[in-house]
Amino acid sequence: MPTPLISVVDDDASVRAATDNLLKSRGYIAQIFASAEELLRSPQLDETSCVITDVQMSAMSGLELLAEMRTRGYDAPFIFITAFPDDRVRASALRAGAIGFLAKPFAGQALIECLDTALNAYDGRGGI
Amino acid sequence: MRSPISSLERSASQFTIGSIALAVVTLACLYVHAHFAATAFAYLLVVLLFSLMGSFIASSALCIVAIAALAYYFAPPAFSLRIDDPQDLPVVVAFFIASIVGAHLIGKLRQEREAARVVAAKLQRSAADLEDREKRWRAIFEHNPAMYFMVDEAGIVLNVNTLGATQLGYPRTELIGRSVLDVFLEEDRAFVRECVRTCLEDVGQTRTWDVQKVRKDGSVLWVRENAKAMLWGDQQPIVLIACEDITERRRTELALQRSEAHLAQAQELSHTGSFSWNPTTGEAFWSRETFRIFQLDPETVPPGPQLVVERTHPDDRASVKEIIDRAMRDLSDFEHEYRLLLPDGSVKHIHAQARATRTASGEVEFVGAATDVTAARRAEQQLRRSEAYLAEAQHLTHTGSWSWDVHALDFIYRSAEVDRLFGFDPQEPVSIDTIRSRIHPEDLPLLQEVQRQAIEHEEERFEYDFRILLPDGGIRRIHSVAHVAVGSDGNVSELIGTHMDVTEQHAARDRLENTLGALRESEQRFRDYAETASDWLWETGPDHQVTHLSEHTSAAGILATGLMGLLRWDIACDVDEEPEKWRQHRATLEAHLPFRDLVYRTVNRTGSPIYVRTSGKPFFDGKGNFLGYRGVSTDITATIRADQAEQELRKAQAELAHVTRVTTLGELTTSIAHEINQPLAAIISNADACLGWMGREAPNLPAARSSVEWIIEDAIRASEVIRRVRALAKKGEIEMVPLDINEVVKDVIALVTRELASHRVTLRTELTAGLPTILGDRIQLQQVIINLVMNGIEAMDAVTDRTRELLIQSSKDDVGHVQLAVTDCGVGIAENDADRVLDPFFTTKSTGLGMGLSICRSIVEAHGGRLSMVHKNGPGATFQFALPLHKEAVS
Repeated sequence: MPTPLISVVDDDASVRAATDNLLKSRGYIAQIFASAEELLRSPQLDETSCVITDVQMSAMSGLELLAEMRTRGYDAPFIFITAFPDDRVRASALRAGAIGFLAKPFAGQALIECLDTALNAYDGRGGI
Repeated sequence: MRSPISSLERSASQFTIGSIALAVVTLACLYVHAHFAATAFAYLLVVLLFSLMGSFIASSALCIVAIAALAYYFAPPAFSLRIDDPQDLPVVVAFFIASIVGAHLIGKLRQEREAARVVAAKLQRSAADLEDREKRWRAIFEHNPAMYFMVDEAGIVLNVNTLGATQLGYPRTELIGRSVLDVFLEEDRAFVRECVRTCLEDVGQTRTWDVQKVRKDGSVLWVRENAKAMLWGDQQPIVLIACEDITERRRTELALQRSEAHLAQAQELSHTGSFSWNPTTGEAFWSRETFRIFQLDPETVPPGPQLVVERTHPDDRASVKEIIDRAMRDLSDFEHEYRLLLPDGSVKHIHAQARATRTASGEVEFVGAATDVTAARRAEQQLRRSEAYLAEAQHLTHTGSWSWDVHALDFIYRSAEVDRLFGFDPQEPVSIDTIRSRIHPEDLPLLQEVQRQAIEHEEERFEYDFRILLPDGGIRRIHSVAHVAVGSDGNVSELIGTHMDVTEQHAARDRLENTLGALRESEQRFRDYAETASDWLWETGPDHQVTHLSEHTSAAGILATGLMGLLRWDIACDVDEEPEKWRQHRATLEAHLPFRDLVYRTVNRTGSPIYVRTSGKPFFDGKGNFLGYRGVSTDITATIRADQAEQELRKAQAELAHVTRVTTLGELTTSIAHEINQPLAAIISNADACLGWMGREAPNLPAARSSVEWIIEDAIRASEVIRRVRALAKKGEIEMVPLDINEVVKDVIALVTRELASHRVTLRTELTAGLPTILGDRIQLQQVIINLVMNGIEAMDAVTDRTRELLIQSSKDDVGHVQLAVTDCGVGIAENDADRVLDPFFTTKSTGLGMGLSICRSIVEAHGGRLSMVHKNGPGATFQFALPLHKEAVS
């Protein structure tokens, strides 16, 4: 099984870098994007096994990114992280098919668990 | 000696008369029948008598005739020559002998007497001759145009000729018998004595010497004396001295010597050597100066043209040779100039000129002069250069120089610049009338009068101004400075002067005068302002003591009297209360910086406290030395009182502001939480990551270290957000500090970022760098800006058809104040609401209190600024405020 590629999208540079740092420390391969559009333009979009994205971003929000990717036919799992842990947003995210919805600040272990769940689901689905 | 012919004549006449006498005696004897002997005797007497006539032959002939007659007539036989009577024979013989002897004796006697007579005649003639010669010699002695002296051994004058005596101014008799030494100069007498002695030693030998003689009147004449000693009859030696007056010759000689010396001197001084050269014989003569010029030794080198050629500069040699050759060929005068190249490498310029003359022997000889004109040539070059410089200088300074002949009424000299000033073509001849025609008609009479006066009073220096009318119609102003030059006749002969073009200076002076006029007017205007203002003007010296106060202040009773010489902090009453203000003020003064609006408390003439606002500016002399301050002060007591009231109001406003602020804070809470959660999320992630890096089989320590460093950064970021929030929430006194408006904006942006993001608003900033600092309360200003930003964000909520963009601009406004503008592209403010939008309780929002902008306005105005809404074309609104600068606010 090839090592899964994780795409991190956050418009806050330090959160972006920290998430990247966390993933890499656990042996994941991650690539970071400052905005949803950046990811959509990325050539690695096809190889993305999981998307970790902020919800509130200035141009395109995390939910819109999810919708866009589904529209384009990508079914990579989504994990949302947000500093506005609004219940309404959380509900719509999970409804839209997100694997996880983490409120900033979150424990690293929580993200890793969430990520592993997502990857297994993705991988397991692939195995059906 | 008598001639033979006359002796013959005399003999003939003797014989003829004797024969006649004999015939007469014969007849007489016949008549008386005289005796033979008696007749013979008579005959004898006749013969002897006639022999006295001289000729012996005639006497002898007469004797023969007498014998014949005797024999013929008286001896028997008569009438025959025969003598018969023997007695008669002895008579005849006796007669014959007696007559012959007698005739002979008489002849001899006559001869001797004749000889004696001849001797006597001779003697007589010789004596006369001698006398004649003596007379002649005496005349020569007397009248010879030479002086003669005859002196004896002792030098006593034996004789002197008249000329000699006269020459010396004596009568002859006075000199004779005196010592000849008397007529010589005292100092020459030994010499004369010696000369006379030498003559006497060698008699007959002529000696010559030159000496001076003294006349009776004391004047002196030079004589050349020729002297010779002679022995006279008595063997006494005398000295005969002939003196020739050589005074003239001597003078001529001296003159000649002097003249030669002068010539040599003149040659040396004028560097002119003379030379002569005979081309036929090749003989040449060079004067000493010629040798000196050619740097040749007269002892070793024979002069000649060859020498000239050798010494000539190689470049000039050909031409010199040609000149000499032509002179020899044509035997004509020549003149040329050439250079010498001397052994020391120096170069001399020589001007040589020669004239062909004929010598006594008819040969042509060149006589000439060679002058060293090096100095002149150099001077000429120098002069030419000087002239060029002068011309250039004159051209640059527009100054022409001239010299005017007051008699000939013409220029003696006129520099090119003069012509240029008058606008003349340099080639064009310029007459007095042309010059005058160019002078402005109004100025001509004055100019002529000034010159006339100058000539009349022989003025050393005089000046005048006039205008030149140029051919193109322009006018040139000339300032002329001149002086008169007095000629050898003591009268003014020339005017020498300069014409300076002062057109520009005039124009500049006019401009200056205009400026000065304007300045004077302006000064008067300001003086009027100052004197009518309620403000007063003051001046302090370099030690900051008051040196001047405008007069009306004490008159109006505004200020206490006797302030002169005091320091400002001596006049103020609040120095102890506000030490910091005064420390700063004194620092400003020491730094010689201007200050504005210093407010302090003092007392007026009646002792009541007054508040004074003063501004000042340092002033310096031309060299930059600090001289003190000048400034203006105002009594702001009334304003201060009003301000104090306003302070109260402001406090109330601050309270209100705080209320609003906290309200806003509530609105911002979500945003703020987000701002804190972000760094916290990063911190936790990095901390987990750090654990991850360390927990690996091969722990990655550098990655772990980076993780911890990021943790620290984010923790700082989080604490900064908290600080801002706390500051915003703080309720406290207004704290006016110097601020950079851009920093305030950045703080605000940090607080509203999430708000912008959640409303999908893009923020654009145009912050001008290097703005001056303003004085203000950081939190209040943040409050104002947050308010404006939040309003903008809300105004764009309804916008869906375009990018929601909020623009924050900081800049300097027209008067240099710092200005901040917040522009949205939202719904905008309705025209009707525009005027009221800043009023309290006016709101367009359904949930709004209508206090936000009103409080913002209060805050901005409390900062000395103004909040305004700017109408803009297109959608949206711009709110902006301007604040005075820090310095303006402090002072």
